[in-house]
Amino acid sequence: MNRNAFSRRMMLKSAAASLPLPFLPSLLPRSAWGAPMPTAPGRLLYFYVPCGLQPEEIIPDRVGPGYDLKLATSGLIGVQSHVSILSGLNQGAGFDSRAGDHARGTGAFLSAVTPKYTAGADIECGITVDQVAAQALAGQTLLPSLQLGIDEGGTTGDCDSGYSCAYARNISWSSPTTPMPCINDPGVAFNRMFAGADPTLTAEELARRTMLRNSILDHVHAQTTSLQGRMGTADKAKLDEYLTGVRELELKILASQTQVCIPGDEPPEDYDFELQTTLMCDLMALAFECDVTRVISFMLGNAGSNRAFPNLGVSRGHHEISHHMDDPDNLADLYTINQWEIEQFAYLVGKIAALQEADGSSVIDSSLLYFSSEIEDGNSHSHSRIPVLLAGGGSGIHTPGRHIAYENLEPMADLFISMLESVGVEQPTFGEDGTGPLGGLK
Amino acid sequence: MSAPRRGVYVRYSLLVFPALLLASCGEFEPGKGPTDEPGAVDLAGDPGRVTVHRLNRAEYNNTVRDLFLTTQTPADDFPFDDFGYGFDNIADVLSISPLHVELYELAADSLLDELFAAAHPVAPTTTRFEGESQLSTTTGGSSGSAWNLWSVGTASTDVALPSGGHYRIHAKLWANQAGPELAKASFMVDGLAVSTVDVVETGSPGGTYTYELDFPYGGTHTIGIRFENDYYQNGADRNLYVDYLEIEGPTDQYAAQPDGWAKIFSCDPDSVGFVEEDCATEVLTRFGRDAWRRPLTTEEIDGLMGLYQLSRDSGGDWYEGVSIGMKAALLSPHFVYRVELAADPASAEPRALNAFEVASRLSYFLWSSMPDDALFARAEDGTLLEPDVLAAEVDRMLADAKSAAIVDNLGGQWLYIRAVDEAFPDYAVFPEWSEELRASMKEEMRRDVSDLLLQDRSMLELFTRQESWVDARLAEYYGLPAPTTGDWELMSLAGTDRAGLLTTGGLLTALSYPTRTSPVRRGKWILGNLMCEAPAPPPADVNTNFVEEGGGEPTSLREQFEQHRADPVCASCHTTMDPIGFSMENFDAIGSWRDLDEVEEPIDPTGSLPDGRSFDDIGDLAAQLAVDPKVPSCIVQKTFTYALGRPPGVEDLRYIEQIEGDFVGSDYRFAALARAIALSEPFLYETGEPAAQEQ
Repeated sequence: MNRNAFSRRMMLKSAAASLPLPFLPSLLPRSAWGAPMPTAPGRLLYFYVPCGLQPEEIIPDRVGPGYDLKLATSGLIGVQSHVSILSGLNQGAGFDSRAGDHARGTGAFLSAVTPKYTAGADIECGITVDQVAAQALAGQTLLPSLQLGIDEGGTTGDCDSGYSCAYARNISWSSPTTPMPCINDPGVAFNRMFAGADPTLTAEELARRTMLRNSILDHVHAQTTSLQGRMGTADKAKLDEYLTGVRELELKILASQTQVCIPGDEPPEDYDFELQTTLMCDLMALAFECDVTRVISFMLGNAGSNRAFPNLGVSRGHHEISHHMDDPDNLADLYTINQWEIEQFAYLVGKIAALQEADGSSVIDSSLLYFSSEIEDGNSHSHSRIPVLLAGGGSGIHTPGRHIAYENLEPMADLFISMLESVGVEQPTFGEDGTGPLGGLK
Repeated sequence: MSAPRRGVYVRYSLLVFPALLLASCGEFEPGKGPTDEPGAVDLAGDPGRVTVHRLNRAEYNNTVRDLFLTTQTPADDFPFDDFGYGFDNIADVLSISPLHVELYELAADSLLDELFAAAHPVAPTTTRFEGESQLSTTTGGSSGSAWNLWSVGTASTDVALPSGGHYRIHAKLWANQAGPELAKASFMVDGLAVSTVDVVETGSPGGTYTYELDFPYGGTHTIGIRFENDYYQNGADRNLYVDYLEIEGPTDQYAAQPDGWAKIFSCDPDSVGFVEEDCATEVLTRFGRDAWRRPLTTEEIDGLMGLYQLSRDSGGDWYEGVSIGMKAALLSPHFVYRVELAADPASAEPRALNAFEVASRLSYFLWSSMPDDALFARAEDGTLLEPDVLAAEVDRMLADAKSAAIVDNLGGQWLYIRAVDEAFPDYAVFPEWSEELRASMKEEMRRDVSDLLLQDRSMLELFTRQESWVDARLAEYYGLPAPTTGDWELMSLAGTDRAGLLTTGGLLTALSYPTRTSPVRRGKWILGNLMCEAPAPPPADVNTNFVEEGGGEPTSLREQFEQHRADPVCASCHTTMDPIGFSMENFDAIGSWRDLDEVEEPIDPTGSLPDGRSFDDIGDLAAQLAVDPKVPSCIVQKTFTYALGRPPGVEDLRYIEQIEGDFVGSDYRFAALARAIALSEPFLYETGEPAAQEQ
């Protein structure tokens, strides 16, 4: 965290402090101001955990509603009616004969595309499901999507057996060559959602400042375009990235005109890993509550994370013990980590279930929250039968609270097609092996 | 390995006679070697091209530090930099996401807020004291929401003022009127009546009476209201009611001017006779030059002034207008990227970079930051393109404190200082490990590498140096005498098992796993980072996990590693990596000396290099590496990659050889290497992108 940033956060704090309400209630969707009550907007959230999920302590014995909870899923007890467990799905794009399953599986995690084997500038993956949704829904919220994470990730060494760090540190790609980096600091994420929302300004002054902001961006936009005219191909392509960013910022400013949700306290600047995770979950719920975005992805660690969990009594690194060799001590530690990870997801599901839409329904009913990992069992590094937790009703496409067992290695990509359907995005195919909506969800 | 001197001379002469270069353009054929015709004017080869370079996080932070003289580090909040070829400053790899642009705007706001905070008075604070409950009184009684002074007396309170300055005291008063005159109230300050007013209001809510004054100093003062003229006759009763007292202020306090103020505001907009627009133009022209690292064109100045004017026309003051222009400069691609523009971007003819472009290349190479005024001056008068001046600038810049950046960024990545932060030793296995020990280990490496790069020493000492920097913690850890000063001290390693960087606790820890050493990582690192012979990643279809966990009965690591040699596919690389790594096995996963390995087997540090030379232990290996010709060549390649922000290609081999010749000839001085790179054609020239590459 930038501890020396000047005044912006102080301003936010004082602005928030001056408000009578700690939180506004859930907002009407922007389009609904003065209009008839709309149906609740669909929302998608993708929750990534690294180093695999041990199926034997996650996949229930019973199929259908009222499934049995196991050691790692015990934290679901309060939210089980909102959460289905999907077993037997196949992430075909994660497979390759070479090493690097963590980076490759993470690149494929939401793209269902096998990332190109490279550690250089020529990274190539596939557009990810969250970004397909974000691009279709752009303009309806302040941010088309939000990417949050925990680990900054190392700066030295190869990320995974010759695979670029881009695959290991991002799960959202807005194009096959453009990863969307995560924000790891809760304060920065908070600022991104709410900076500039200064309720002490008069409407007139706000309009004047917005005019100046836009004029600066117009100026920068024109300057960049003119600069491109004097550049070679590679340089032009680099500045295209910049132009895209400027345009997105212009859209954000446009959307911010009607942003009326004022948050409570900003997140603290000091936190440990556990608090950081909680804060990120709170921010995700807040983003949905304030309708800042309807598409979120979250990485509870980077691919192949070797984090130790001393808070859980696990002193060795996660990745190291994930190669468990069926050693009971290793497995016990892995169950402990998986249990904690699923507890975090359950906490988030609980928060989102408590949010109300304008029509009184729960936000969870119109949302789909996806929880999974880049591999199945840490020892096998398999990409088949990766356990998936799916929470929320998805505006009717999913009946939650069941164990849905798939028998024929149905593609994960088909689930992504269904998830897109829940937010009104028709996608006949997706990734390398998605050919249509996944059956059995209703 | 010595460089052809003639080529060097030709290059220098080109710098001095750019016109000659233009005249020669038609004769140049990229990819061809130097012609042997006497007097021919061409480059030795293809100088290559660097893609437009986005400032990375370190560069952004350092640049705004030098631009604003601020301590803010806004790039700490930016996404992690893309990383390739061992460094995070590779132009081709560095990308920009929409998140970057949003955070650039927040960073600009934060920097400008700090600068301009001194332009306006600090907003005053107001504190209210309720009459019925918060004032000390000498007479009267509470009357609902006010205090009733029913006889001559005072209602007062102590206030703690943050500073001296201009304040306003507001009193909300009314009175029961009786007798021949109105009720009189005096403002009391520190026991003295400073002003007396007639209170005309006869009931709630009363009137607000204000007294303004300057407090010469802050701290505790007493303010109050005294009822002066009590009256009671025949049931007619005059009383004074005090609803509340407020103190507002100070209203005239400015934040201290930040360090960058004097640098940025070369004219004073508050001085008599200044012309607002002229001063704005002057400030933005100068700021633009610094931010874009080159003089602005008239059109560009007009563009920034247009934004200034837009702010003024919509009611903004001078400072806001200037800040809007500055914000546009900070969000400009000319700030965010290091832009080098050729007249014809598609031309394959090499182009000599102009003096400002060279100044930027130099400052980002040596300082990871923008040029300073002295370097700008050399660019402005063009003398920077003279080889002697350029070489002297390299020396000057390396002597400047900002050259710490090359230790942190080149050394930090190439020599793995940063990687110490990414090691996670298992506390259960290594109870002596601590974050303090990590910090000390990192600082030792930083100081040792700083000596290598910035002192006049042979860089080959990285293998052999018989002294190292230690603090009390490390001295104890290494079994050295405690530093006498209590601070960091350079201490002799003679008689110990350590010498040079390879035996620093930090590097040994960074190249280990949480619970055990990794001969593979250590061997691979030496091969890749010091000899530039990085082994290929494991081939497809190979299970690389079998050594990660022992499984079954414990055997010595070396026995487990015999599996590497059993499989011919693995053996092709591991017969190279493993022996080098095993030479360091006497140091455990946090760099402590040991005689037995994890399974209590004696350490066998002997082995041999790929070319067959054998060594007894790490000291012997290091001594052999110090005379291995691959090492200086590798040092040049790594530094060249970092300096240019691109990996060397085949066309660069001739340059690398020349640079290496200068480096070896200087007895391996980093300053000589930096000068040779700064004077090389790839640093001073660039080729365009042929239109054929257009897709």
